[in-house]
Amino acid sequence: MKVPLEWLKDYVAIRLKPETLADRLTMAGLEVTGIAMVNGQAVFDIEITPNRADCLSIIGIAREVAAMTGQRIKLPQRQATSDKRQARTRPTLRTPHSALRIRIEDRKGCRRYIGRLLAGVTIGPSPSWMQRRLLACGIRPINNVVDITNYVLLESGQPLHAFDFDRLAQGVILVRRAKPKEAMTTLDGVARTLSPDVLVIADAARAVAVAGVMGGVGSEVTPRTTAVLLESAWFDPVIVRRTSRALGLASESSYRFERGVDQVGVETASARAASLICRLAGAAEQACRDVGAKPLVKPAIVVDASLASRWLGLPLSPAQIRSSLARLGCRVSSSESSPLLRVVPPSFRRDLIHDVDCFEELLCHITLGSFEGERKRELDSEDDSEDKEEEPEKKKTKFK
Amino acid sequence: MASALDVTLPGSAVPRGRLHPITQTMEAILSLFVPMGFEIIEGPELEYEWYNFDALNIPASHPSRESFDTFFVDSRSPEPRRGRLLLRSHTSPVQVRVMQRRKPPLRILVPGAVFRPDPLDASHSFMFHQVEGLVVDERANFSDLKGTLTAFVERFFGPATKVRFRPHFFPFTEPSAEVDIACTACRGQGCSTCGRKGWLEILGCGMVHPNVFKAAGYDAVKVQGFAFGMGVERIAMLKYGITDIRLFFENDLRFLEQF
Repeated sequence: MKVPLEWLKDYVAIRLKPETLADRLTMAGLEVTGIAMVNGQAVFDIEITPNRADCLSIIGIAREVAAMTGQRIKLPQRQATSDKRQARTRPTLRTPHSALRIRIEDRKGCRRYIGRLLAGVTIGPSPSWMQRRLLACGIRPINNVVDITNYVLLESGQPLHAFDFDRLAQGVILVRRAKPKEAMTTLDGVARTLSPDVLVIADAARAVAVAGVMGGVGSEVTPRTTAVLLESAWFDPVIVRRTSRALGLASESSYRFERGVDQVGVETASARAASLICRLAGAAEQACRDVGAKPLVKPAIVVDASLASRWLGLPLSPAQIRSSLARLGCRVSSSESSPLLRVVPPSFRRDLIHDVDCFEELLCHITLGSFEGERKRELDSEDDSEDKEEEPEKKKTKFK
Repeated sequence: MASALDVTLPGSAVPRGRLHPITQTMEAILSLFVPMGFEIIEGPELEYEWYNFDALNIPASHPSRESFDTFFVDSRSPEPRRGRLLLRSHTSPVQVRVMQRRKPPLRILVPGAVFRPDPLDASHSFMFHQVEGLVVDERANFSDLKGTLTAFVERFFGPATKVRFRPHFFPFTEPSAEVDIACTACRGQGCSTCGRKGWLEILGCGMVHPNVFKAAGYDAVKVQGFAFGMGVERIAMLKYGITDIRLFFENDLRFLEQF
């Protein structure tokens, strides 16, 4: 994944040289495989392991940098998407906004679907700062609305799609399985014959998109679009992967859905993109429908400091563990009567499930982004249970 | 004087055989761990899906479970509850097999052939070899892992070898790491051999995930341990400066005679 340093700095203060930052990221588990210079700006190429879907975004990487360097993360501000002054002169839609209906027929395939109707859209080029950032990440600018969906996808890791609302029959969105032999032409121009293995987004008449993978011809945003239906959703990773393989079709969206997106982030990204569309394309939000299950509350992980120390071979106190995990966004609580910590990870850390997952985080962050600095003990062939263990040296990397 | 023996004729040479470079490399690797108390164990190349994936905490939704990433075998599985038959994609399944039959403490090494449907090229072969290690007792920890593997690297590649443990991810270990050595070709400067990183990855390792202990029938609360694995061809290529993996399997005597 390409990460332009200049964009990353929007969310976290960085004072390290690019090479030093690259090294720190690599030793925290986010391997920087190359640094390219694009228009005089450094762009990192980072290999993200499959368990860190939360890092498939600029903000995700910024969070890691913030945790590593002790800085605060600066998230985009929520902004209003409907201007009260414009309410009197509401743009006219061919289909009234009240007709917007969203129904999820496959609740396993789609857990949450948010549709935001933005009217009064003027399609044009996106600002040059946005185009530059998209190009640095290998994405071709198309128009302001499409660029915003790609921009927020890269920024937050949440895939988004924009439909031309007036081209959706009866203003209806259905999330369902494709009918046997249902036909649809995807945006790459290929005519496809679908099967019930494939999850589609459909309007009242036909399938308009392959869910989580690619939109279809006939409902996409064009220069004549004046009303946009902005989709932000959670699709099942296995279904998206099977569909992607079956059709031989992959995208930045399918890549992220396959690894699991944050159910809470579905709403944040929707609001963020909507506010950008309103600001940059002159639109106003007319309706919003949020359909589906509430995000599941994660159970607390019980972390035992003495087990963590025994597992890692590194002495760790409950206080160190608490502050380290809290820096990652976890809610940590403990009771007077017990040395155990109860840790609730943030919704975007879907990889933190067991106590051992927390141990890996402790190893990365307490040793300041490297696995160096703890005692090494070589195994020998005799029983060494009588050995006295030396105190581990804790080498700390100095900030440059 | 018809059957005279001409003693001035040169003797007939008996061609001398030698061990294959892969065998030699494998034995060199194993010989560095055996003095540390490791026992060598082998397991089946034709394996059940359960041992190759499920028991190793690799979920059904993982990409490698699809048919394009694994050699599934057409025959009916003799034990359907263990899943489909396949050619093992790593030597890790043997860890589970051993843990099912033996109680801890364990220190085992598993050498063997593994199979992945990668297209054949200079650095990929659909069959290659791995050496796997597993240590389980009451307190084998991540620091022990580091010490053991650092000792191996220094003895195999030389005492001045720079080594680093880089956090990584495997479904069957947590924490997981990859062990890199400073690139032998450019000594850390960055070149085409190391993809300009300056480091060459040689080992994967980590603390065995509790789900693997559970699958193997160990009490996950009472034991802990670490595992590691390395690709023998890759290590042989680094040690001998071989640039094409296919040379190992083409049976060209001009290549094999050099070892």
